[in-house]
Amino acid sequence: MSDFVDRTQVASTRQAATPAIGEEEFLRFQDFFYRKTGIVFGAAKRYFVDRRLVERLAATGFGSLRAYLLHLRFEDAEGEELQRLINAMTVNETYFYREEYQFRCLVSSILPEVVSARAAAEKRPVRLWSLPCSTGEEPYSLALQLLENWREVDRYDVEIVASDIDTQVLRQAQAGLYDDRAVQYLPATIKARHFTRIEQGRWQISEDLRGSVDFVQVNLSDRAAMRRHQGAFDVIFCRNLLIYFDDASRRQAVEALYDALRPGGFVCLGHSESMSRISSLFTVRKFPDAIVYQKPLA
Amino acid sequence: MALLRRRASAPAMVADEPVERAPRAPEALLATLRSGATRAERREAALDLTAMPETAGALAAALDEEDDPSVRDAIVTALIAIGTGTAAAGLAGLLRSKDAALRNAAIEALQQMGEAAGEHVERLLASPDPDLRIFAVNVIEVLRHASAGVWLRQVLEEDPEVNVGLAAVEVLTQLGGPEDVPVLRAFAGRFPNEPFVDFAVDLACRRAIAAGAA
Ligand SMILES: C[S@@+](CC[C@H](N)C(=O)[O-])C[C@H]1O[C@@H](n2cnc3c(N)ncnc32)[C@H](O)[C@@H]1O
Repeated sequence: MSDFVDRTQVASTRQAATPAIGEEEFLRFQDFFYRKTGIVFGAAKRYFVDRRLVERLAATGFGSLRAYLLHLRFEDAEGEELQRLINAMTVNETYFYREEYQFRCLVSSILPEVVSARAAAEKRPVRLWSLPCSTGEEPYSLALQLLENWREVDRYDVEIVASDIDTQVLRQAQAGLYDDRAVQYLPATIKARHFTRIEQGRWQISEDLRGSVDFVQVNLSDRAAMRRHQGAFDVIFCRNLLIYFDDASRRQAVEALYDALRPGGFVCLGHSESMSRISSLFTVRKFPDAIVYQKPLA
Repeated sequence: MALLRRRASAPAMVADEPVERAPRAPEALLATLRSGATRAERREAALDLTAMPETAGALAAALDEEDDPSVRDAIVTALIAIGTGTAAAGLAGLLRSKDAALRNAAIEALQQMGEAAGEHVERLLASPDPDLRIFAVNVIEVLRHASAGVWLRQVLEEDPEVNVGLAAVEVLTQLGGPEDVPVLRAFAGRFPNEPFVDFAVDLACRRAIAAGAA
């Protein structure tokens, strides 16, 4: 009984403290955000989204979501507030050597194919793209894996580009500072060789490695932004992003990835993301370590 | 080491300038889609047309003429993203194509439109154009939506055009159960002078009853 009383009191204080967001306004916001990013918030995310929206409203001083949306649409010409909103809404969870079998596959199967398909005189670098890269663990894992495990690493020039829609995570990625949780799956020898312990539980990746990744902001759902990278990459890691999209934006994203690859290039998706449920553009390649998707050569 | 250094020219982190194109008119994009020299150009035109929902009908028609699988795929993507009734109808129209790959592309697209396509079914069913209503019935068959039974019964009970009803009978021949028999019989009663209706309804009822017994 007392439990019941307590909970209603908590609920009513929360409502009094924050401007309530009505169902219709929320749907309008959802639609707006979807058009900008491809991200869909299911009903289960409602609390997460509301809390962040309320924070943005407080920070900008708008009294209602309606007024805030009008501002985003008509007054935010440089997109500064939109960027802050996006930064607040993204889920950036990641860590070093996540789904390591894919990196093994890259080194033992994908890269050998990529380089053997090249003409001997080919001068351009092998280009890898981590999209989305979040706080940098994924592109730095790529660099570490190549340095540690790819025997041919010295024979080829490799360029690693890393992108995300969220500018805040890109800044963190460049600083290369990590806590224990982020590096927990790294072998101790790798940590010792490439990281400096800044303080208890804080690590910084070496300056060499920081310099080897090119961080560029990109919104995968923005056609104009993606056009810039057409035909530019041999391998794209696009992991744990499409899960936030709906069927339609997922398909559009896959088209954009296809266009960003060279003929014969590869895409690696997260383990819960399956290309066959999205599109039949790619050839499914079953390598010993992982299943990946290849853009046909011709 | 062979990992290249960050490009000195690009200040890290700043978004690359997006490559903006002068916006092209829908007619120009459709012309490129139909006769663009390379598949890359045709793909690009199709994906750009996503922003122009009014071209859905023309896009679906272009799907019929396009041979390259990667361009077809781009057209399907555009139609799914447009997601309007016309897009669904255009795709549903392709379900009658003789080309199996095209039919599959249309089915795949409609299924991915999921709820969106479902919403349009009702609008299509209310269209004055019997062809669109037949397309709607084809869409119902593909979607296997929770409301499929309700929609099909509504067609059988109310649609004034015998061919629309026959399309529904065809679907129930595949998917129906014993509970559909009375509505099927009532439909036959509405068109007493159409011998083919009796034949089709008899077949559907036999299958429906067999499905119930199985
Ligand atoms: C869960 S993290 C995945 C990071 C890493 N790939 C991994 O698998 O560990 C998802 C990232 O996607 C980014 N993101 C969301 N929408 C995006 C979009 N439209 N374009 C680019 N990045 C996006 C988020 O900012 C977030 O950092």
